Amino acid sequence: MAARQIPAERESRTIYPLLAKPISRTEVLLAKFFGCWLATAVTLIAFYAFFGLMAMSKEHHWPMTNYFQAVWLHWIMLGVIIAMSLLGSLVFTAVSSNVTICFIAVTFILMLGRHLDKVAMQVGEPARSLLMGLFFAIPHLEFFDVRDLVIHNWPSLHWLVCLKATAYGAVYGAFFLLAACLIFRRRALN
Amino acid sequence: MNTPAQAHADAPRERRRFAAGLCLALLLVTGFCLATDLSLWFRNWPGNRAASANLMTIAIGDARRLFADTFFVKADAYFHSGMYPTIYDNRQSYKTPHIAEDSGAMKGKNTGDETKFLGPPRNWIDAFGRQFYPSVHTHLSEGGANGQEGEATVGEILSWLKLSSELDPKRVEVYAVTAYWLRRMDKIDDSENELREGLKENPGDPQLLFDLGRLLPQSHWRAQRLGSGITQSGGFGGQGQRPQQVYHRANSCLTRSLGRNGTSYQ
Repeated sequence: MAARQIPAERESRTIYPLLAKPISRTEVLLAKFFGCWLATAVTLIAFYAFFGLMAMSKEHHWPMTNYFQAVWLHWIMLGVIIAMSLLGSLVFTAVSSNVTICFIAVTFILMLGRHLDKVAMQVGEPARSLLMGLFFAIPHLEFFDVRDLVIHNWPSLHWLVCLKATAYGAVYGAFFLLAACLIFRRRALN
Repeated sequence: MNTPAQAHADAPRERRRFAAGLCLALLLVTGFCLATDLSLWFRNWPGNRAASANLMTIAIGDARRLFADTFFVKADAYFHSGMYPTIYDNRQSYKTPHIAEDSGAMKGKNTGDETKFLGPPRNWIDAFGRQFYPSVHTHLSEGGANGQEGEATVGEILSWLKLSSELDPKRVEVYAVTAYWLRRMDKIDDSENELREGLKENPGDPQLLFDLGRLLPQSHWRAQRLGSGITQSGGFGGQGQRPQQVYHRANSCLTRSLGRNGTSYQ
């Protein structure tokens, strides 16, 4: 959804009347980001509520704190991904290539992100330094995936940990959005 | 209206169309004839998956063994409340699933400390990240993730084991492991049924027979019932026998009985 926002506006040429209004390009981009982010929140809450009700009917208890933390962190992760997709939509020309690259990047981070340093230790230089650099540079989206803790009834996270993860996500989200804003401000629209 | 010249020009085209139609009809008839012949051969072919009564066998063939193994390991992961080594971790202490090792169904090949396969945190990302996934070693049978779970929570592994045994009915250890944990949960009848199910698929398997015999003394009522049943059938005495003796004799009797009759005893 986020990947299509700007290209669709450009294709249909609705971006011109939009920018003719007294709003800046940065505001347009931020509005697109928050629109997508709120839409995902609605979907996310619906899914978690459904899963929670199913689990409650079986287990007869609903650890509200765990579910709230899971939804919150998941939403922060989606914010980072939406910002990444918006940036991608300004970098890549085709929507399909942006969607594919974002999908591969997110899957890679979620599956291999936290093991990248272990893989780096197994290879020689210069691959080791490159992988270690990548390990510290990528947004570790696995910080926001606490579904295993919910499923296996682990105690809820400490709120400070949750806050730190939120700040971590906010930094990466802001980085991608800022980069997208800078590109969008200089990009010719035709 | 067609002129004679046009009609003359169209004639080869008509012939080509007729020939193409004829070829299509011929191919259809040939396909139909081959299908009637091949379907008979296919029905009797030993590799015909459609002959299987199991829907899973029809759908995924021999790949079901792979899935069965995955679900067996998944049951062990649930037993550890999700704290399980990935392919990037040191798996020396998880070579044999702990649920199988505890039950004695599989010979343990595990070495090293099962609680410390993650090792010390390598960097701040690793240290911080460990708070977002299960990273403390625990067993469902010892309180689980929050330390307050009862023995009944072990039931979470049973659905995975059931899936595993359905996908690969020839895998004996799955029945033995399921029966062991059912026995631990004091579900003696379910445990016995599981072993019987296993014996139906693997007639005369010594491990399942042994487990079935071992199950009997757990229930005094069952031991009594078996004792009186054996007495009636002209076997060894019931009154005054110690449970240990009943167990050994019942076990040998069962083994012989099942070996003789295939899968069941009364």
